[in-house]
Amino acid sequence: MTQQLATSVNGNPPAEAPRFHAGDALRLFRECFRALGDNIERVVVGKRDVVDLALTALFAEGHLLVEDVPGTGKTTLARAISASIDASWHRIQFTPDLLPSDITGVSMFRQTTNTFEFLPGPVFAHVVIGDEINRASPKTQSAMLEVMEEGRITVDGITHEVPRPFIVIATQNPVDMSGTYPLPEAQLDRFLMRVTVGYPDLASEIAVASGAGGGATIESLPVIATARHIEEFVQVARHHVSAAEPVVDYAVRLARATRENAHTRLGAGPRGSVALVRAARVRAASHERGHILPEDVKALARPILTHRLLLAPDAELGGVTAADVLDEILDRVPVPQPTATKGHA
Amino acid sequence: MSGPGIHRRGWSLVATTLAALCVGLAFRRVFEAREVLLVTALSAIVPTLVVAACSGGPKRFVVDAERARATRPLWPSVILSALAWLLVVSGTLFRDRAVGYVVPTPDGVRDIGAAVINAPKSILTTVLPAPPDGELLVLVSVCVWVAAFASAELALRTATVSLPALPALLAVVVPVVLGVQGPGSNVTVMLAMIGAIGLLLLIRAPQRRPPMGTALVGAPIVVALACVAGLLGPDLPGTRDRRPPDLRDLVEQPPPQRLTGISPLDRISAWLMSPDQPMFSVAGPSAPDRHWRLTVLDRYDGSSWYPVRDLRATAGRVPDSPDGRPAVLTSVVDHVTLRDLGDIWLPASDRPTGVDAPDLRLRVDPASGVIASGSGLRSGTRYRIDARIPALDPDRLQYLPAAHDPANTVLPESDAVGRPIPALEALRAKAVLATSGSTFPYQQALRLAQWLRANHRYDISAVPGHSYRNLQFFLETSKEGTSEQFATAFAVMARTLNLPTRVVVGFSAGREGANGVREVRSGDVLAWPEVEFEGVGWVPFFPTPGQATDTGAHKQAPEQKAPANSTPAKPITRAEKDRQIAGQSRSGPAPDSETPRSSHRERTRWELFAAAGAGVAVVGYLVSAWLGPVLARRRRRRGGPREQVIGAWRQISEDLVGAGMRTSASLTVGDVADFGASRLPSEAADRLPELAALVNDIAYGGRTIDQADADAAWRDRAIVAGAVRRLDGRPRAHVRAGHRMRPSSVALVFRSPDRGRE
Repeated sequence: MTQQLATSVNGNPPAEAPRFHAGDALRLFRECFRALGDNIERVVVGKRDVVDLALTALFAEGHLLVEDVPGTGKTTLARAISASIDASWHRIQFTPDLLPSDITGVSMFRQTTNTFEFLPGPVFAHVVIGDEINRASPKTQSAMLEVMEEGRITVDGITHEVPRPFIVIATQNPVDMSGTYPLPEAQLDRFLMRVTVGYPDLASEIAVASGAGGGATIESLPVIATARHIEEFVQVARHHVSAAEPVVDYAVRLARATRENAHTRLGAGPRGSVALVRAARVRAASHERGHILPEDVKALARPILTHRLLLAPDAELGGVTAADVLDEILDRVPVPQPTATKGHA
Repeated sequence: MSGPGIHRRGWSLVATTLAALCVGLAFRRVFEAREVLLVTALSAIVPTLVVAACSGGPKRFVVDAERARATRPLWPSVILSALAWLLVVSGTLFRDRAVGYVVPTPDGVRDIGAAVINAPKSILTTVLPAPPDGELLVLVSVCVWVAAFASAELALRTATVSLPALPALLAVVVPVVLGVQGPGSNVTVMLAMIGAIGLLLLIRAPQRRPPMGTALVGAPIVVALACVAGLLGPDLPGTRDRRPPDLRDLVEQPPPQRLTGISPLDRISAWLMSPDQPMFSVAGPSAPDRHWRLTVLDRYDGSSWYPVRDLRATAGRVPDSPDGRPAVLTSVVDHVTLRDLGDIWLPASDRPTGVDAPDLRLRVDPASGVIASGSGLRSGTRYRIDARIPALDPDRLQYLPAAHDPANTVLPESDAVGRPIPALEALRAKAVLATSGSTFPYQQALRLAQWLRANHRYDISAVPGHSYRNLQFFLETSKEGTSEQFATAFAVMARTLNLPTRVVVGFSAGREGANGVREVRSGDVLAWPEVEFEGVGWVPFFPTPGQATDTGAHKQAPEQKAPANSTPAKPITRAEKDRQIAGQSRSGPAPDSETPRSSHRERTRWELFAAAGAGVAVVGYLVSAWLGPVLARRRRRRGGPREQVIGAWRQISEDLVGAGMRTSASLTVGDVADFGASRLPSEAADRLPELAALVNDIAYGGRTIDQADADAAWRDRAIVAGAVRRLDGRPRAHVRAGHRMRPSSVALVFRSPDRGRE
């Protein structure tokens, strides 16, 4: 696997997915994770933490919402991920006149065969990049609901499976809100995490501007792993990483605390705590660890829970943000302390 | 440049003046407070002004101490200060010996010098509060002046912060030592002194103010310990009856002065022969059964009784009796006007607490409370006397042992040539006969008095005298005598039974006039003996028949029954109770320890328990706060390797709190390791990530380890702890102590450190 990954990084995609041995699974996971991260960072300079979060979402089979002002590399990030994987990817430019069928696909009558033939839309890909998703109409946005949650689409009464792995990387601009349709809570909840790219620091920005690092472009990025690799590693994170009961309990208590907080009108639901544990497994595997830690939960709580909070009007008027609420919760909810007695979930 | 600047040095004179004022006010236990105010104020302010003028005005304050010493000589300040002191003392305390009431004459200077030398010993031989004589008050002036002068010089000439407080601290020792037996308390003055010193420190070094944390932690502890000490201190073993160390015990008292040539005991017969001579009159509460004491005679040489002679000067206060403190029945105030009494003894009720006689140079015997005038008594002299009448309870007295007082049980056993005195044996035989069947000293004394009353007759024409031979003649032959013979016979016979006795000469209550003033005449003279009992002190007995009853009531026969019209509810008198006790064939068994002071003891016991409980709680808390972490550390080293590694990590977490890590339940193992790595030197920091990973693996990954891993973990912990201790900028001692005092530290004594934190 290491050799294959190394070969991939050099530009030659591996022919087929490897068969993992249990002892090597986590080591290979970490190497794949790092290789993907290094690859993406060649074009998304100085944003390793965001890249790692995006990869965490990828291996957790979750969807990623990248939110930031224009020009910070949202689309570049999404495209770099897709470019690093030898998998199908489609890009959708969300506009107000985009129709649901433009996404899902349509059934067309083919006169030669006298049958209806389904023409899959751009959502049928391993990686779907949705630019400016909040510019689409709610009707179009809702078309994404089923596919994001269940990984399938029903058109004309026929269900069509999307390829696995499947990840939606959507971007949106929080500043220019005119003519946009903010994502409803139901759809926000379907994103595993929301990340903010942010402006690069001075050195990184100089490096980008000067074309340092060999002037890598998305098109020149080598393919690191195949879709099958990713699918295998998803299973590694799911089955080879254990979650001790105190840590799961901590994740659940964090999610519950968002619901009980005075500043929130709506907190994270059970989907939030499930997402937290699932992403924590990926983070643990990326550190070649067979168990999750409170640190994993704590590190992922902000990107996973923040976008699920709906603040109370008083809090909004008082300038309180969802990040503030979560910071307060993280500072208040006790972290499980290590004991000699271990409990697993 | 270190130390206070020139302005702070100048302002610190305010604090040194206040400290010197406190020195003077501390003399309030030696003199009356109002007497020392003027002297203290002048002696504190004038030298400060002199020093400020001589050692530097506002423009001459120098910052550097060396330069100060070089540029400002000390001698002008010393000389001017000494001259100023002489003028102030001469103009205030020795005005009558000064020219123009200010400038001292050469003799006045000599008197002042002699007064300074003699004042300490004079005060030590005077009952406090001392009279406000200039010869004594000069000591106040000296102490305050020296303290103010030295403090001011040090404040201006040195850069030290606290040294200027030293002279006042040393000077205040003088009034504290001299005022050990004085009335009142110097606590407030000492608090003021602490405040003045605190002000001095604040002025000279405001940057050294104690941190708020220290105050918050330390103040409650100091207050709690002070409360415990205040409550428990007086009841600690050996302290209840122990007097504080007193310099008076070491000072040789002046030789006893023979103040009169005639013992009042010898004048009884003469007074009885002319019974209508007015002695004195008393305006005060009506009290037909009270007695007026003139003097106490406690030494007997076989021929005469001699009055007390340990007379000390006093401004009017009579110290408490050192022998015992019977419960006080009532406090009375009498105004006495002397007539033909003469001599030196001032009549007073037992026991006086204070005399207000501005015209008399008063002397007092602290043991007996007898008051005398050093200048003799003249007709028309008036004085006020405060007294507390003791409540003597026969029920309690009847079981008390006699006091151990060898000086008051001694009797001459042989004559001048060494031969035994036969009369003494006769007196002893009669005493044994009179008191046969008695079991307790009180019953002995009652029966002796009863025997004397029953077998002898009162006759004012009896032969005077109270030598052995006189008493033997009185008891065996004439069987007639005055209260002189009855009282002295009782006293001598009781001493043969080893009962400590003394004789009191005084007067019965006298006749009350229409205006409520009691006129006491010479015919009212009365002598009576007193017996000393353990824990109560001296108890009077009245063996003279006809003239007085058991309680000394005038003109009432001893066997006379109570008036028929007396109401049944009238409480039983001591005389009636005494007759019952004297008539008992055997005294009953001593009752339980319940005494009239039982309620007081009960209260004291509860206070003691409460104080002890509070003390134990405070000490227990402090010990637990210190012991809790130690026990927790020991517990963390127990168990299997997994428990030991986890315990080592918990210990490291606590150690890092000492390095400034916040204590929060939201810190993960990684957070702790990150903090340690950022705060500690590399030899300790490098060990934390690996140990943190091991801890996480054990806690959440089920990793199996062996004892070697546990030992390595504790070695790492020792390295981390050492690094924390050597850390620069770690929280200061009071912050660490504050952490140590938290209830969570104390709770570690009682529970496992892992419990409740999972």
